[in-house]
Amino acid sequence: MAPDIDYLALAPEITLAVTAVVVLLLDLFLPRRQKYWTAIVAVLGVSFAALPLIALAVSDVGDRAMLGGSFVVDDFALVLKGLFVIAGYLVLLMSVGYVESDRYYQGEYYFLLLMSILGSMVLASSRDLITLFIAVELVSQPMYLLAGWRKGDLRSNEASLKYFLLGVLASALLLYGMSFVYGLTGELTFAGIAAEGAGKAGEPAFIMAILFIIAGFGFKVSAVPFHFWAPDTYEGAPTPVAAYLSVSSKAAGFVALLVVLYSAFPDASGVWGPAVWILAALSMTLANLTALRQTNIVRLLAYSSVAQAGFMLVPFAAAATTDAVGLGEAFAATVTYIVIYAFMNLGAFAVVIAGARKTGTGDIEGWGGLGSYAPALGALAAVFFFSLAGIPPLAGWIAKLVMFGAAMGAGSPWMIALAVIAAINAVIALVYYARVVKTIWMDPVPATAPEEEVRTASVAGSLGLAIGLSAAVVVVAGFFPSLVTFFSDATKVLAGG
Amino acid sequence: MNLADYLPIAIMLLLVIVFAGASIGLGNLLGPRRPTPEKLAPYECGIVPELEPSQRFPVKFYLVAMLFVIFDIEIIFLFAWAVRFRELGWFGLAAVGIFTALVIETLGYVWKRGALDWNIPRRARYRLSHDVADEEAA
Amino acid sequence: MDGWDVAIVIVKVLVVFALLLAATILLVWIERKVVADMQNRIGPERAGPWGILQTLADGLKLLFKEQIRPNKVEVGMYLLAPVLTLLPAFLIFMVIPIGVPFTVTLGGVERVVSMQGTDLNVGLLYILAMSSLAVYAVVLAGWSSGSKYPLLGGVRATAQAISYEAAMGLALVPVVFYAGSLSISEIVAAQSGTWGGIVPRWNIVPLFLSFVIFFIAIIAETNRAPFDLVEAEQEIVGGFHTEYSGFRFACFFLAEYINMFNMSAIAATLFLGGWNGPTFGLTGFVSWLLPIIYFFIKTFVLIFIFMWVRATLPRFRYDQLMTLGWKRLIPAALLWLVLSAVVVGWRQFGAPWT
Repeated sequence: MAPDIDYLALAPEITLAVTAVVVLLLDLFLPRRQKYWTAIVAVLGVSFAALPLIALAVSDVGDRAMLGGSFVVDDFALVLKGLFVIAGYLVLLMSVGYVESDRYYQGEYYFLLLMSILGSMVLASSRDLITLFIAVELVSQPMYLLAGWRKGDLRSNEASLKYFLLGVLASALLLYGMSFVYGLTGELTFAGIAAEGAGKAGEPAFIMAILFIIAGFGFKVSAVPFHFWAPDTYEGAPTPVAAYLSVSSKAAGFVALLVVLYSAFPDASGVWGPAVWILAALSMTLANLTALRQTNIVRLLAYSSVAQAGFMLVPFAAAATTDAVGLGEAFAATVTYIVIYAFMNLGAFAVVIAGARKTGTGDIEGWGGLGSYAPALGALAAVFFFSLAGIPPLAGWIAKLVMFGAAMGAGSPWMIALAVIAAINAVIALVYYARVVKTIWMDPVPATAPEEEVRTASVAGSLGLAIGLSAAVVVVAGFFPSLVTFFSDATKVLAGG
Repeated sequence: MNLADYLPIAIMLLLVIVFAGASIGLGNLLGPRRPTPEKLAPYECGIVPELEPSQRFPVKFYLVAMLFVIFDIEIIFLFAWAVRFRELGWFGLAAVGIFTALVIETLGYVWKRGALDWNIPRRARYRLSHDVADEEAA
Repeated sequence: MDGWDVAIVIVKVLVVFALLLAATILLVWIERKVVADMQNRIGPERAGPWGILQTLADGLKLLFKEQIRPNKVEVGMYLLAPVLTLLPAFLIFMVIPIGVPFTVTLGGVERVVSMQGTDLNVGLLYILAMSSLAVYAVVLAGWSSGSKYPLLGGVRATAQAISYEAAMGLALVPVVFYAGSLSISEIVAAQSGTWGGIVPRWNIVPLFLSFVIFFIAIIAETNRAPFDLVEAEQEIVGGFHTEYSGFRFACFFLAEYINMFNMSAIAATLFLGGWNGPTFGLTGFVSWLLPIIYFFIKTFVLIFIFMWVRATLPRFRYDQLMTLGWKRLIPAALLWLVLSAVVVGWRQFGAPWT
């Protein structure tokens, strides 16, 4: 009666789940002064979860499918699981000092973060609607709590509540769409839906279902017009949580969107293509224009991440209009963009955490002269912000390059129009990214800046490690783009199939 | 499932409703009806009530309700497994064992965090057991 | 299914209905007599022989009393609650088998009539569901009365009932995997026979702890002393039924005693072998009658324990109640469940490594 289970394929998830349970138990029984052990165990657990991933990557078994094709470990899943593990690792590193300085519960913080990482890992492998939904919820639910972590702080409460209310609305939309799909096709697995739904692309109920699903994931990836929660939530949430939200949580939403649209609705691209086109154009334009007026660094990053989501959606829209080869290219372009974005955005948030500690403020004006008293941090800030802007030779430009490549490759006038919108927005984005760097290096130290010893205090070791690792990836990938494209090409299996 | 199995239950349902309705109606007919303002006021041991009953409860009741949802759903899963206990063998036992271990962990967590304490307020209990006061003084 | 089958069903329903009403009348009298004896009093003795008609007299009296409807109540819910409290009380007994089936020839066809309202394949779930429903009536009555004491009683009742329901459900899981079915008749059938010709194969023997947990939980579920905080007279007057009078109050009273009978019958069925017992090789009518007698003996023994507990133990404090439920019964039930599952698994499938 026992179902056939490939324990190696499940090993990363099992490792994370066990770690999370151990962290929670440790927290219960450790005295208050020794709670830092929870952080150590969490970091170790995430590191160990990477080991079976490597074993799976080098094994020559090929794709491993389980549970009737609901859970598949292929190259696509492995690349994204790797990304989630590394991003989770970096966020954990950022959190250590940050959480310790707060007087709130540490054990639960790491437990919830690990659970969210676990959810994103499952998500990368899920190939049916129910597994996908459970995974998406597992990613989001801990985040509702984590956003409100500083429960004495009104902004944090607001962040949590806004995120929660809009998040559950998104989940409801998503479920509604999924139930329509199930009702119309009688299938739950993506392969089954693709087969059953082949002739149904024109049915109004089917169109509505797809639009509901896109709207649901639109909230998760914070694309305009579903982005309203993002700036307030990022600002109120603890900064490492905001980093996680803007990277892993968003990437998870994109992965889900990719998998659903490409493998469940390949024949309905005439429906989702235009919808994604509009989302992409709106996200880029509105978010960039709003970001220009931001004075708070975290809000600026929030709008920037909404705009980046728009850039990531461009290859999606392109994929709708091309053949199978173009589809693979577009798919790889999105994955490339997600991978690179993850590192540069994590780096940017890590720099913000370090900078906020030194300057004592999140206002960009207060950061004047940071370069003069913390030159290394200032330089790294420049690296990440210029990379986000897409300036060569940093990694961000490759992301933009493949994105434009996919859009132009499609060749249709609509896609060229979208590429033009993207190009204009890239220029707008440069303005506000450069403004931050200009403030850091060119402006004088403001009178409100804290004492000399606060400003020159060294950055916490784990945070420094997080910044260093992200910076290394951003710079090296900029010089050797083949490193990233090697991984993203592996993901074409899903689209090419 | 055979719907006819539920016929006796439906008949009983009807019978009870008729019985209750009839006897309460009969009580209405046979009993006197002499309302006075005092009689119709909410009972409060003889004094005239001045305040409406509060619409807010201690949050603990909500906590109990949420915990109940966790445990009740767990029990339903266990019943599904228990019916097929023999067929599922050790695999089912191991799976349910892991599941139950997680539930026990949940119980331990809420227990240790004080969600099940109804005597001393949680904050006071935490202070007593963790010496937070000393730490703050230091 | 023809007309005769429907007639049989209707007769069954009427029998169950009459049985429960008669049992209630008897129970109230027995309780008053037993508690009176334990407290060295005489108890009711005027109405009928040994006062056996006392309950009937009380019921009649309530019928002639004014049914007050206070002006702060939420009318719909307030009127619905007494009916709602009777429903699960009567419905739950429908799945309890009280004896062995007999055959009867009606309309030229030989029909097997089971001594059970209906044999649901999800009988045990049905019992759990119905006992959960019972709390609705209490909480609605408390909430709709628009008065302080009923509200407190209602909220307490909810917290108490759902706390002990978890323990109750957990205690029943081993019963299900011993029988391999949720059907009550199959659970009873699984308990027939003996071990070594002496010890009956009742679930109480291997599952004694489950039985203890279940019995404590059902005392709490029926809001009986020492778990009667819901209607603790000294603290919150009458609890949820403070604002009820006349026959509406009688409904709550009736439901409480029917529930006590139901729960004892369920405990007897699930743990004490139901109608199983020695038949001494007898046949015919006597072999049909004996199981019914066994069933009622077992049930009334449990009911006597109910009353004994009531007469002996003082009422719990609220925090003690919650501590017992969440910190004693639920962990004990969980651990016992795991332990008994492993033992049964070991006996049935061999060692896990073989």
